[in-house]
Amino acid sequence: MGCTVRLSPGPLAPDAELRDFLQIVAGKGAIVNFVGVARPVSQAGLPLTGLYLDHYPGLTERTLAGIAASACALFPVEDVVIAHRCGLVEPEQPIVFVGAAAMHRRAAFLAADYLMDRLKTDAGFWKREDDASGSHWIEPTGHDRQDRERWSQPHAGN
Amino acid sequence: MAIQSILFFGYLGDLLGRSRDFDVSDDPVTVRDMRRLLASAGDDVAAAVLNPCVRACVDGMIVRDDAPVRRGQEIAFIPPLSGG
Repeated sequence: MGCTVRLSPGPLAPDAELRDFLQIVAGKGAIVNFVGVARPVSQAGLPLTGLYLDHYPGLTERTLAGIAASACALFPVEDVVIAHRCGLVEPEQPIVFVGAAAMHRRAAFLAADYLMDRLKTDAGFWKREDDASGSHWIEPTGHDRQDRERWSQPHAGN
Repeated sequence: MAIQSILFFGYLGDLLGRSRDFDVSDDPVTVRDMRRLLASAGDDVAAAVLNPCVRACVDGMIVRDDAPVRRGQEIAFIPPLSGG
């Protein structure tokens, strides 16, 4: 079983990530993947010109590794990968690729869902939206926090 | 008198600089002492380091205010995480 975490200031290629993951997890019956993309509109409703993900080298990687390890502990998955951007991301460019591989599909779906809910609130980034009105540092939305809370309940995710 | 470099992330980096040197006269024993010493550097710094939502890191680990600090350790202050 393996947890892989990659943080990159350069472009993220989800197709290449999936190809690599499929090679690593050969023999598993279920592979789920998710791609998160920078929305073209800011929280203020203006066209986004850029999304900057500030990070603290070392700490940020540890938060990603911790989230991946939790997924592996909570669900019967064989392999998990998180590939995440940092730095300046252009609108409609991929920010995150998540993959989960298991012998059976339910665990892979749950692990991918869990990984994204945790990443949206607990990943060690500070995000800044740039739009025509200026630059704005943003925090997780109430919706993000509700999604995160789902996994604190008994029978989480079911 | 000793110089301590402090790292700031997110909006704090915009406000105070990504890395800023401070004169720290006393030897801080805990993160709480460090916050108090840094706060004397100015209102903008005080507002940041005395904000309970702003967490401290020692050597890249998020720590509580009663955590010990020693000279030479990397100290950072971080706003609430935005998530990915």
